[in-house]
Amino acid sequence: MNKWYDATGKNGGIIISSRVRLARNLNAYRFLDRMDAEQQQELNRAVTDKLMELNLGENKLEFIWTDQLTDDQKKSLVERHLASPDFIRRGNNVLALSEDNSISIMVNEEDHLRIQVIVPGFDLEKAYETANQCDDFLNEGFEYAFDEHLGYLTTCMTNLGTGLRASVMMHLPALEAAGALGSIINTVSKLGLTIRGTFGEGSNAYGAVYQISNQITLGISEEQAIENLKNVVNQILYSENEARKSLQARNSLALEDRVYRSYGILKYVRSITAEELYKLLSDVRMGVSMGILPGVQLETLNHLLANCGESTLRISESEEGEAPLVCSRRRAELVRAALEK
Amino acid sequence: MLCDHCGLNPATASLKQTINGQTRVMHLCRDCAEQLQLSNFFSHPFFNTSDLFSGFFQQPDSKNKAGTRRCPKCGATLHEIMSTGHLGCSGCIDAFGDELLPTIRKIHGNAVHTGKVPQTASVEIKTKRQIELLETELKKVVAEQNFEKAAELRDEINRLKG
Repeated sequence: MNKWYDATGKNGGIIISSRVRLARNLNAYRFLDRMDAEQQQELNRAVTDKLMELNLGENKLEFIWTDQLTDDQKKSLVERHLASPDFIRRGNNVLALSEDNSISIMVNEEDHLRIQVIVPGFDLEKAYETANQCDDFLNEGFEYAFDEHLGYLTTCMTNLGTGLRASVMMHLPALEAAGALGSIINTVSKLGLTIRGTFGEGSNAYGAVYQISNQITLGISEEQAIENLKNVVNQILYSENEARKSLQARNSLALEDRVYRSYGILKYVRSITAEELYKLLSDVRMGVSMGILPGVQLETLNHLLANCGESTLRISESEEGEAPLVCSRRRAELVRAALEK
Repeated sequence: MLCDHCGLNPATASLKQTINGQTRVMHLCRDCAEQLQLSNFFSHPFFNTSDLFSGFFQQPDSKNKAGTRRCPKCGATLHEIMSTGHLGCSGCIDAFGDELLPTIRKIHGNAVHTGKVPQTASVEIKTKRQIELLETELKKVVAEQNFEKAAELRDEINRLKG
């Protein structure tokens, strides 16, 4: 079965993926800070047993007990956004992962349950619909901690209410080049949303990939929160397209040259770091989505973004603990092979 | 006037926050104003929740009686909840609701849950929510002057209200 990242969706040139996460706790157990290891195991088993009955058609759930994983296997889950760093750090927990990697249900993260759904492109409704179905299914088996006025009770009080975090991963190279991100970050934060770089730190995000998500969860319905986020994403999308047009109008030769140079390097590279790869992929992605560089699929670029992390490369060859230099070689091989197709 | 945050010292500054479209002004003493402004998290895109909470919840008087009372279900004290921002169980809200509410309002504004209700919630909560949804719908159809539909909705609301 294809992974979610081997596809592209609505506005797929600029919007890489849409993600929804629901935080839930069970009434019968204390919250994570106050549970002992034995209770956590009991919860792992109870939820796993229930999830075994979840029918996803051909898309089967796999259960991953994190304590049985090597360090690289754990880090790879984080690199591919299938588990949170906090989940991996805690241990003694289990991840239910769908075969296409779009559904991941973390048991014993900060909350008893974190239901996460990622879909390609701009489709928060689809992501929410699936998360909601998984939520209803689990609720058949367990009574949730819920308060009439405060909504779903979560460990951290910042998530009270819907427990919903919706986010969109966007590629914003033209806005970044125009120096417009600082003011976007400011504006977005005033609207109760947050924006941050996906790879690397701060406004110097590698590869100009940014994640925009909601912060407020109480006093706003799931649909409203998603609608608010969508409106802001649409405005950023419009601005990015405008910035690209102006880039092209100002010096189309320079733009074309940059796209093809980066493409040329990726086609023939023999060793490359993740940081350089994300930078070059950014040029290529912009070229592809602007129609400058035909013949390369967005799916291929999504696949590379998801699979070129240090730990993911190491486990893909099932040889643990190799030096980063070897990883750089392997990354280059993967890139060349993908662009060869 | 005493500080809205600690309730101990005289208020000398005011802090204005707009959350969910509601603007509130808090009158604060100098210490609390410094703490809260340092953790002005909505304008900071990379905020870290633990930093946030140490700023928000630090109780000026940790020997305060409520700080040592325990949640009967999980044993968490109010002080522990305040210093981490983490609830210990579903019972903590029942045990410390009055004390926690001002803090929750600082995070989310003066808001109540309007989203999804779990299937396992009580019939009363579900019915109440259904009535709220129908009332919103009723306002909408009245504005559209669709009085036939409005009458249907009003009957349904009355039926649910019993």
